[in-house]
Amino acid sequence: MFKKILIANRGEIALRIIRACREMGIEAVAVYSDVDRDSLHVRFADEAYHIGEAQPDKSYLNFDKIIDAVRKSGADAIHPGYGFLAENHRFAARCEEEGIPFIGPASKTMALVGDKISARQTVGKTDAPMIPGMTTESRDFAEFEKFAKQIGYPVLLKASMGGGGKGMRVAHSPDELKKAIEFGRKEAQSAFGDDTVYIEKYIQEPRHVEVQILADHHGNVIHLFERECSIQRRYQKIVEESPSPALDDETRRKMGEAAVKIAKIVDYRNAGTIEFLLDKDKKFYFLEVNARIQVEHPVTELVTGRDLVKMQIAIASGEKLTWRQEDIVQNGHAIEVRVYAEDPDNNFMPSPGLVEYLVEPCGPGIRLDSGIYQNFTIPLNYDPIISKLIVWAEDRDGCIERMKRALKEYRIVGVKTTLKLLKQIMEDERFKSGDYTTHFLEKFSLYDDEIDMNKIAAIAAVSEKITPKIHASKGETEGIKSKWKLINRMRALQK
Amino acid sequence: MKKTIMVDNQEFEVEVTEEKDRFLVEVNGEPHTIDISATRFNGFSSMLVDGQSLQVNCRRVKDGDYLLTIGHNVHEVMFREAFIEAAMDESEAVITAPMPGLVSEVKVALNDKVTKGQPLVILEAMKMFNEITAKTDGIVAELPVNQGDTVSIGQKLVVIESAE
Repeated sequence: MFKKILIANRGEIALRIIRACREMGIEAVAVYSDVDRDSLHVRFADEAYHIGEAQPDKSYLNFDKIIDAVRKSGADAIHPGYGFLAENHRFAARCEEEGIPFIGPASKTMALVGDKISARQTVGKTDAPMIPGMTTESRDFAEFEKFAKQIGYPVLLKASMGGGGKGMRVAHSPDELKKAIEFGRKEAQSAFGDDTVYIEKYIQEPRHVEVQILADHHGNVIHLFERECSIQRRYQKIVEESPSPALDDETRRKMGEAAVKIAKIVDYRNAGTIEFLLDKDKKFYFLEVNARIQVEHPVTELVTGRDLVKMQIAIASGEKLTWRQEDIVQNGHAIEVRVYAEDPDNNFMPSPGLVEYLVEPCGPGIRLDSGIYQNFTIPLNYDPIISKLIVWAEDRDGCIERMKRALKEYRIVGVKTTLKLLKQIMEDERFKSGDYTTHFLEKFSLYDDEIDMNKIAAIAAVSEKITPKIHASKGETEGIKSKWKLINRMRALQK
Repeated sequence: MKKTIMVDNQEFEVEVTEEKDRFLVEVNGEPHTIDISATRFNGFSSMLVDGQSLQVNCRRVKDGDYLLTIGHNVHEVMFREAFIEAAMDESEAVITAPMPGLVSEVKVALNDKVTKGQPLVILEAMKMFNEITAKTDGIVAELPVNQGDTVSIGQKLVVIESAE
């Protein structure tokens, strides 16, 4: 078993890994950039090393600096978290060269699944259903056209090396396809340094359902059931839940089996997620493999009662996966909401800055994986995620009510957050029904809470009495321009 | 003593009477009772407004200008004098940074003529480039920032005077 692990990440995931290390008697080493000295992960770690300037390529993405910190600290393994270097197969290869265990799959597996075309080629060898589409690349438009005709319009053009919606375009005709390829290649080159694109059948009104898998270094692979992640804004997940309200037991079983087959054929090791799309007939299709522990892993942890991060560490140190498939059960329901430092009234403009006051939800069934604290300044250089609020209850309705309760308790003063949007999603009838697709947020409009303005005015009138006498505000002089709020909200949610 | 206040662009006439253990507030003639606890819980004061229990955080932006956080909503409160000052600011078109960031580019110079919508400054934050544009026609009267400066939210970037 490892004695000391260096966490090549920051924020709430770094804190998550530190906690797993603590519970296993392993020392946790944090790394931090210029702007992260005050971060929670630095404060909670056993040791912390400064690795460079705020810019990610000068710190968290810098191979040499990370390896250097490993040597300095004497850590005997690296946990990459999610994002940053977690799916960088070259970094994993570097770790292999340096003899430093990388807590994740092998670099060759990461390279295989990171390239969507090669992933499709390999997965195509199993009987797992795949979205009809190309499995080889091509530079010949005639081939693209022939394929599109074969699978039927509309088709979706995707970047082979990409994600996050970049390079993706829908085409309804050969003309649109030609344009899509032209622009798609440019976007892919700029975003991923590779302009390889391919087409798949465009699944209309899909649901995004993914399956968690775990594989050890001894050939044992299990799945830990699914997570539904259809509530997204611009390909960024905002709400995740398990079990998925879309699945019946039969489909659930089949998806789990398909996920295990896929993990085996790509020779997967450690924790990973197999993403699927569900069409309107509830048929599922393989989408891609995510070779990392995911942001939304707590949803699975709460429903199955298993600690995935500790198991990641155990697997990476060579231990056998002792959990049997038949022992993994889904118990109750869990929902996760991601809280971002963004202004939903202003096109989700990032809102970094000082967290002046913070009141966090607590009580039964509440889990808060947070990277902030009162008096902390959220840096402007990274992803503006504040926290993940995950709630567990005996059933879905109870879980929604509990999440509403938790969101009501959660108060953050000083930065704008998406708390209000999340509360309104929980109150939405369509969400409550469980019948929603990835287009959910497009049709969603943020509304003003019903407020008794006279009461607010009464409070306002005595506001001088409750303000601290000496308080130099950092300058939130931005008043609320209400007539633009509605337009901005609609625009922002329709993107 | 009656005062006029603005709450989120709505005007109210209020009168506050301080009693032994509570406040009596008349809002446009309607009476309310408010009991305030002096102890702050992470910045929040407990207020019982006509029996309703609310937690309120009040932040003073400047004299007469406050931001009230109640639940997930933020309300801007301005007492009359501060409101007049703010209105004056707007006519001079004081353009401030909407978020903390780095001045990536300054596209105008002092005394330049600008038109409404014209980009003035490019602000970089959270891997995004944001164009800060002129809200009115006019002349660049003040330009207190330079390329490479780090600015905080609300910091003055450009002041435009309407060309008369």
